[in-house]
Amino acid sequence: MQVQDRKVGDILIVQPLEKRIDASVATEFKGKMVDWINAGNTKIILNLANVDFIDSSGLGSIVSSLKTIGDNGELLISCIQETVMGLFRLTRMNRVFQIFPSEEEAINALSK
Amino acid sequence: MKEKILIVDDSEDIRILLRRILQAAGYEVTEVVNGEIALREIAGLRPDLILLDIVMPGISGYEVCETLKKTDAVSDVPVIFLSAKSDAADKIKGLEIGGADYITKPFDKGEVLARAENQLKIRRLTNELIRTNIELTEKQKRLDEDLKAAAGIQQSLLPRTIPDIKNLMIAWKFMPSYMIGGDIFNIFRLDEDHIGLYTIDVSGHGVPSALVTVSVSQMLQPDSGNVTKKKIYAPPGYEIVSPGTALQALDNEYPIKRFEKYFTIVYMIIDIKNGILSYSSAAHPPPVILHQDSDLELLDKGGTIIGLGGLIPFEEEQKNLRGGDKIILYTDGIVEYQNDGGVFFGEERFYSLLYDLRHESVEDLLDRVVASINDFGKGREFQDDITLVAIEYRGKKG
Repeated sequence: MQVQDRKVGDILIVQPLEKRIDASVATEFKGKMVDWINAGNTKIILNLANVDFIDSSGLGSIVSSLKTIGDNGELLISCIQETVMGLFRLTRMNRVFQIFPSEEEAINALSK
Repeated sequence: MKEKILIVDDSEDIRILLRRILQAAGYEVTEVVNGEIALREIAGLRPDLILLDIVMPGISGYEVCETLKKTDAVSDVPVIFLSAKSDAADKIKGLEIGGADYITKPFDKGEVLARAENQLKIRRLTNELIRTNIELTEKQKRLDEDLKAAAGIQQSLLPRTIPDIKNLMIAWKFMPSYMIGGDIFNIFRLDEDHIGLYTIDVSGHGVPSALVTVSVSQMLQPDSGNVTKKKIYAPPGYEIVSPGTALQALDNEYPIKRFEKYFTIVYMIIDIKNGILSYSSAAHPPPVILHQDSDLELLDKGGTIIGLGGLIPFEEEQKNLRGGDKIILYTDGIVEYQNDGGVFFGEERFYSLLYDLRHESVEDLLDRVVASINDFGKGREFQDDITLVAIEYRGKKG
């Protein structure tokens, strides 16, 4: 699975380059997220601009990441597409995650 | 065990020379003097390698090789041709009819040993591969049988017969994508007037998800667990737990860290005496109420997935049922089903199909839905487990 990661100050921005986060990549994606968290990243923005489908395993990998970062950090989501937002609304993940329309707004929220 | 090499050559000098070289290297050596004898005795000798002269009185080495390659029992024995000929065309012919290699006379001791050992090594590796493959096939067969047995056990958790409830008609379809899956549902009596039912979809599919379904469905048993029904001292000696509270209990019991899995569930209680449905959903696709004479309704109240430890409360809602209303519960395998073109079956197609089928009996309705999915995907196999439950409320008990 192709994932781009870059740092803006102490914020890690993670951007999957795949269109789908599904059962075939969920374990690998979760592994990467856990590695980044264990490496000490406590402020992470997940940029979902390229992703147009997430299945239950994919959602599980994102939720597990949130649980792994726990109370010691923050995991925000930005640039979510409408199709994926539908899933987030259905599963009420829109109330679990802070979601921002753009990366800048997410960065601003974390920089406060 | 020593590997056995058969030398086929009409020249005694050559045979003696080869025998010395090969025996000194630790191989067992047998010789024959022409092609006819070689073919006659090959089955009994069962060599691991044949060194075969091309030009011999009687049948040639080429013909011997061709015959060997057509004989099942010995076709896999490698053949190295021996000849004074050093033309490329001869070598190619030898290789084309099944020879493994070629040694030109007069030969060098080191070359003979190196080429012989190469072929024996390939044969050893090939045999090992074949053996491993057979073992793997057997293991796979055992695993498949275990999976089939596990699928049977999982199916046994489903209602064994359609519960005989006077004013409810019930039908279902349970279709795991791979023998055994992460979906489960159940319908059970909580008491004389209350029916409980749920559909669950555990994230992922296959064996790990199926095991979680077994655990959760045990937990939801009204008479053994205490999630759906609690024993109390005051009469009647039990209390029916409301859907939201039941989901809260599951949320505490199954944190995502426990199995690295989460699940979605919709749990509803139907008061069949008064026609009242109450439910709560943990991020499950919303059940649909099909009315006979008005638009369909989505039951979308609830909270988020089970496993997050009470991040959001599980809201409940009540609906009054009228005679003829049908309730459809389903898992996301149906709306997320994709055809070869990558098009989703989708909510809209599903809801409008249900609306069109609102006057059908619950059995016919589900049959038509499954037929419609198969039509849409042209029989393409399901990517996810699919569960569908349909219930018709026939009106208040008379």
